[in-house]
Amino acid sequence: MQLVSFAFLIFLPIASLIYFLIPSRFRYIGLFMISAGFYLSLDLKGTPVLAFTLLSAYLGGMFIDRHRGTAGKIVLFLVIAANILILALAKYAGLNFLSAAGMSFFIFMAVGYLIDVYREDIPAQKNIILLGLFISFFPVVTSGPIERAGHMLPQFIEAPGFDYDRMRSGLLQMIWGYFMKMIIADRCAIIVSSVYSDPVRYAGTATLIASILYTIEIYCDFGGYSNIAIGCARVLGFDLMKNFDAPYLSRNIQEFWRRWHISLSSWFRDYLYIPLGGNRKGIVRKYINILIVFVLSGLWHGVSYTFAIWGLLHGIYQVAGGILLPLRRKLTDAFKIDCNSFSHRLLNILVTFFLVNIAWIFFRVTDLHAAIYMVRHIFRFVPSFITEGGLYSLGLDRPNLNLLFMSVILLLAVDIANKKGIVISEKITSFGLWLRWLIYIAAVLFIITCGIWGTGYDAQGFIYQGF
Amino acid sequence: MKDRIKLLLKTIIFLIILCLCLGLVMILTQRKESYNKNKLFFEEAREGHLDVLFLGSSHVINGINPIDLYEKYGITSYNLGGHGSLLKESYWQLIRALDYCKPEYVVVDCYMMDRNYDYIDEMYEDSSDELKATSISQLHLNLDAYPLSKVKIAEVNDLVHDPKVRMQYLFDFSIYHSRWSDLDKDDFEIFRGKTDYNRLMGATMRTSVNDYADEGVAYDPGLRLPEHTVNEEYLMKIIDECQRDGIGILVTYLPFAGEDNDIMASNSAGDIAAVYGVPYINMMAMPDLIDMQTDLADHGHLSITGASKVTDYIGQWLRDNTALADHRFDDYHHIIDDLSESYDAMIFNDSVYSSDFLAQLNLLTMGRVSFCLFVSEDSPALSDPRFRHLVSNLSGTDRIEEAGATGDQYFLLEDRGRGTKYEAAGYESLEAMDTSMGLMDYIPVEKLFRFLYKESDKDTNYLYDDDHTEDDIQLIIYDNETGDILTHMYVSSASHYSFENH
Repeated sequence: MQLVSFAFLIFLPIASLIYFLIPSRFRYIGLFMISAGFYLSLDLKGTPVLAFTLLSAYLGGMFIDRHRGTAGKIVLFLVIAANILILALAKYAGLNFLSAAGMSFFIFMAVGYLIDVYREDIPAQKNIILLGLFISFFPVVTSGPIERAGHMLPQFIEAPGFDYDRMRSGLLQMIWGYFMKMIIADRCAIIVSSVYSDPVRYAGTATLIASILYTIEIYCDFGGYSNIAIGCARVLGFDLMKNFDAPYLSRNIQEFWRRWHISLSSWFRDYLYIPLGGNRKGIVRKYINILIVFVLSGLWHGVSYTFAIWGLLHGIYQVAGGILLPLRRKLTDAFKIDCNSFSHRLLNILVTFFLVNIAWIFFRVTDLHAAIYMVRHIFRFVPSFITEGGLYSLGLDRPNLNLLFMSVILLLAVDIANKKGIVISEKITSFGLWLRWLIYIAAVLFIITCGIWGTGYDAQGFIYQGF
Repeated sequence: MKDRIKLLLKTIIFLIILCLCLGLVMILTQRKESYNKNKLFFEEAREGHLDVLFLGSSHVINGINPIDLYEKYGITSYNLGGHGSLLKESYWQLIRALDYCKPEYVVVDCYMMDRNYDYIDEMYEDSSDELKATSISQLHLNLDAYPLSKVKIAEVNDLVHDPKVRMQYLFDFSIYHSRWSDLDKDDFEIFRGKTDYNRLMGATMRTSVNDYADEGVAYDPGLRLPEHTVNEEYLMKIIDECQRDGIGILVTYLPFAGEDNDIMASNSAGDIAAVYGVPYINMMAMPDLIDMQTDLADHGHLSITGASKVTDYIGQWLRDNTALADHRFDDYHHIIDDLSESYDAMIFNDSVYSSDFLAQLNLLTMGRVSFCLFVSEDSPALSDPRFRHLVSNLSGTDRIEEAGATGDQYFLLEDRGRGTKYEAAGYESLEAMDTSMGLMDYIPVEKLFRFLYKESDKDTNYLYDDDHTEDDIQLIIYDNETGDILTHMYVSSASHYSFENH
């Protein structure tokens, strides 16, 4: 069952109804069973892997809690190693019988839980069903956000009751997620697929447009998923961590990673970068740590070396940014540039976007030659491609391109508002009933009518579901 | 508690409004072809007005005209042919239709009975994706207008293998929502109840004429299909169904320029009909029934003139062999009169204002207007056998062939109001021609100059214009009764019969 499917739209209200009808002290059991059912419908053959991760995390956590010191450390290492080994064998060695939907996410959640227990940040969870719910909670099990046990377990124990405002807010966030996914991401995907499937065939302008559209697609695809998952959890009364925060309005790469896939980057920060020494062991070690973290982050996404290059590029961006920082400061001082001026901020945002955009090319292609070809040709501007209608030959006609363009403008406006601390959903909620309903109905109809779905569209899910 | 009830009520009202709006959007985005084709079927079937149902493929859609059938024989019928419909689809079309009416007779055409595959979305192993996509799309014409029912679900499961593809028939919004960018005025007219609809009781008449001589293979009565096909099975099921329900059945194979496999299918269909003891008309075995050059719109589909001949043949057969009532004098004629009027208007309009000159020459045989045709000396059209054939059809003589052999100028006037016809070749003059325009004279003078005038107004020469000396053909079309000139066409045969209207 995909989050973008009719089955899910039927499943969610039924699951919510069952959940809220169960007495609060037993709700976590009901929710665990619902989540287990969801996962079984999604990937029956992956269930043993999920069960292994749960059992190993449960037993490991209990052991670590009781045996601090070397024994605990050894068990921590063994359990993490076993889970990471399964992940590696499934992803890199191609052992399909070990693969499971969302394994990169739930294994990381389990590993995070064990480290938190080892660090004594949280006690080991004695109730296996609660821990099972944490690892398999249906909105997040396939693509995150990679939640922390310390954040989720208390909420599961508390089992909040039905709250109309939370439900409404959750549904609004889901609608926004569907907008990002079905209106923008899947529309971009049509052009992106055309060009990336045969980059040599296309002129520079097409390559540039496709690369920008992929940058938008991956944000709207994963950001859209995250919004649906977070909204869905909120309908049930749970708060998940924010996963995206207007990432393309970042002024530098460091800021980008504070806003992009926040749950993964903070996981790497907390469970890898800091244990490696972080920035506490000198500047050179800091840069090495950054490179290690980003290469591993790249490899987390998949087996292809292009993912590693993508991660490495981001690491290099950050290291270069750190090395060049004094020089940049000197230059801005020398030229008396106001760093807070709109034009300078805009330039920072555009440069960051450009760097991220280049890196996404390596993320999307399947071999290095194609990536290099695209990067080399991206600046070859061919005006005739636009003036002679070449843009319409990539799979989207004029009305669809216009719709995409206007939707991206809307996305940008909402991201700018979010960055300024304006929450659009709260603004809408404050409107009078009829205007509010008009907006809700128009939004739903717009997404259902203009969204890319139905026959001919393979609703195979979200890009990040594959990682 | 009170607040909770209010909240619940509010939510229910919101959901109702949302569902209503969604319903409107679904209606708006629907592809309207199926509704347009079947609108009159639903209306007339429920009223019990339909005595005959025609089933089959696009050959039936283009080949049988229920309006002609009514006008000439008083038989009420509906054309339920579907584009690309195999007999398997025709069977299900019949089952669906029987939910709405019980006809006296079913006429089923067997084109494509040689196809031997189960599912339209799979076809043969080597069938192209494009062909499959066309087939999937064409089924919508048959199905969309029918509400979801057990029969519809069973039909879709029987015809389509891929569950995802099945979904588009059972919940067609899943594909039609993407029509949002193609919506036009007609889509919105549905809310005013003013959508256009098929006014030929499900048929579509094609006015174009096959643009190349295509006779197909010669009929061979000995050919048979080499294997028993899925569609033979469904022909049997159709016959079974009709016989079980006490419905008369006529099996046909409509004429076209077929290949060997079509001849085989036509003969095998006859064998099945014989086994069941039901009548069969194999028009593939009737080489003289239609004129392959003018009665086909393309190599497979009949043109309007071909449809007229085929409809006439079947009408006569039904009149001679069945006890079907003549409805021309009962209340039903009020409904048909309106449809006949618009059909006549369509033919009249196409006869006068067609964009295809050769198709227009063919349409003139239908007699809705009078005309005067002039072909100048040495015109390239005189050496075009297709043109000569069309003119010969109009004149009913071979004089155009004689003119073609010598390169002489040619003149033909046919006045449907007076019932007169005049023809001349070379420098032959015609005097005091009796026409609705008045008495007229035709006098050829030289290659680039000739007279055609009314005897009452000799100053107006209808066949000469300084601006059109280069055009080698002139066609004047005038009203049968009043003699008013409706159009005067100057045609250049060397430029693919392009023309200017005056």
